[in-house]
Amino acid sequence: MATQAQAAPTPQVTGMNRKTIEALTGYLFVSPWIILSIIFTFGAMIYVFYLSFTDLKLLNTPNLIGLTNYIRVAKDPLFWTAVGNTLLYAVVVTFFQTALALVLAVVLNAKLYAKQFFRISWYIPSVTSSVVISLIFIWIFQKEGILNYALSTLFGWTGFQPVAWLTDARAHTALPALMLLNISTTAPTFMLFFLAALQDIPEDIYEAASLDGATGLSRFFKITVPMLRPIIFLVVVLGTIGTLQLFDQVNIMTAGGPLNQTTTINYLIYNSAFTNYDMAYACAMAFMLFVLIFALFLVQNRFLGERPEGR
Amino acid sequence: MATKVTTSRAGVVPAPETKAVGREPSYYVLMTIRYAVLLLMTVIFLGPFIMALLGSFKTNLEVLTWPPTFFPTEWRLDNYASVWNVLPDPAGNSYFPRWILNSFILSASIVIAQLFFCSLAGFAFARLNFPGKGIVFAAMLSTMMIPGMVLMIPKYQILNAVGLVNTYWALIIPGMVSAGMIFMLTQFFRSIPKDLDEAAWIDGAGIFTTYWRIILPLAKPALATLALLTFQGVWNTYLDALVLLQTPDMYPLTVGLGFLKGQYATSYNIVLAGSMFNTVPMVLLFMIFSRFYVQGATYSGVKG
Repeated sequence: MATQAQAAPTPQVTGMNRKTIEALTGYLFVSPWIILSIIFTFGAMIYVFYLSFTDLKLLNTPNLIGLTNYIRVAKDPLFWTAVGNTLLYAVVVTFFQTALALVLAVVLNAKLYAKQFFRISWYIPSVTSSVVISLIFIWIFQKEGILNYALSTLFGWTGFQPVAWLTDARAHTALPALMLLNISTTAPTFMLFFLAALQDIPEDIYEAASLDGATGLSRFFKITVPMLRPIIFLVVVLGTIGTLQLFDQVNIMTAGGPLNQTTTINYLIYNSAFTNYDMAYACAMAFMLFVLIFALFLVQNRFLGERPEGR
Repeated sequence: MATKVTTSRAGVVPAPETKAVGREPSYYVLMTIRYAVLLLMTVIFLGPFIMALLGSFKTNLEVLTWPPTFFPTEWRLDNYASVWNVLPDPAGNSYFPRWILNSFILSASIVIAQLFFCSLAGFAFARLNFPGKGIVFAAMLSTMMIPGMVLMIPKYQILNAVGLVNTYWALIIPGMVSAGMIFMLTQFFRSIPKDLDEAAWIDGAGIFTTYWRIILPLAKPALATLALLTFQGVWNTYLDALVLLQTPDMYPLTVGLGFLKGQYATSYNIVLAGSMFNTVPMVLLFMIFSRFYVQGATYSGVKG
């Protein structure tokens, strides 16, 4: 950030000097963000924390009731089911979408015909709304759907039987189906991050390595991965934050079912707050979700991150 | 679709031929594998969307048939006509066009507000000095980590208290600024030489004039990126609209489609046709302006 203090030759300025004007203008220009975030972000965070200790249902005057909501959350088996589902989903999806994005970026980062075609067409899922993706995949995942048709054509010889992916409770396929869906729709976006970063790796590093006899896989793990570490960290953090908030697909495709196999923390918060009008209880869960995300961020920062200087 | 081989950004670094003299057979094997992987991924990524597009022209019987057909046996536009009129409000007017209009109004207003407010803030962060700037900037970045659902309940309570729930303002006011977009523009504004501001100052231009007349015109590509990404973001938004807009006449298309699915759960052909109204405009925008999207991914973080 601009380190050199500019005591520029000040032309005829009446009253204030340039530094003061600059500072005041700076605050003025940033003020829309400051005002809105004081209300809708920082104020809201404090408000959630406060409400989580009250008995707010929908519009009643909140009364403080101590830790009651948190005790209720801790004793609610559905909450722990949701935490389990959410964490499993987050770990699996974050891992595979990062790995797939990285591999695809490497595959695409070569002299290829029709490279632009692949880049553009792969990005189409990313410009599509989660609602439409959900609506399309309800149809794809149904028992007489295209996925089952493709799988039984390809793997019929293994005895594969069509399964109602989103509704068969005994097969436990609903959560894996949502994982597959999310991996295949977000990996292309993250691939763009990696693709941009790959172009910043100097070619001579690879040349030097190949003179030393490094080939294919060892080039990938010894050079590409370490060089991309900051981006991998960014993608993992963004992926974790995103996956821990799974809601749209659940709300539209499964409504948490079958038998709560796809109930996520976010879905539970939404249902408590805006279906059952149990808002204070939802606030307690919301605050716990925030703590969970923050804790995971610290862990990831510890293992993957390196403080980038001068952010 | 741009299938011509272009020297994209990816091609700028001229990957030098490691083996200039002839090509070993292994090169061709490797290339074949590469293309096989690329084509397979294209089928996986795009297949569902193409099937959905084709499905939107089929009868409901054909959409549900086993084995599935690829091309419709008969191309029909009925689904599009049906979805346009399928859900009438009490006065007999159809909701569907209204949803498209709502989505457009919300997206356009928020884009316009953000173009102004985010660029002002980005300009201040990148080119002005004021005490506490570093802290404010860090605070702004940290807000990107807070889950939307956590803020949803207070947002609802606050907007309800001032009577804005179920109005466009419920989405527009909180959406006027975006930490991510301010960050992207700050990155961009930092790349413009600082001498320009000095020169403008010496010529007697005020700070706002410098921002408006000198810096903004140079930032057109970044502003275009912001406009496209924000438009797409609001057009596709779901949770906020689901909570804050409560009557069907106020729904944007995303919430409307969810509502439609609730009413016509088994009429996949209708639902698929409705979905295309949401998707096709975004895909077209993306295909026309794809370079700005790539820039967005690049500025927001990677080059940070």
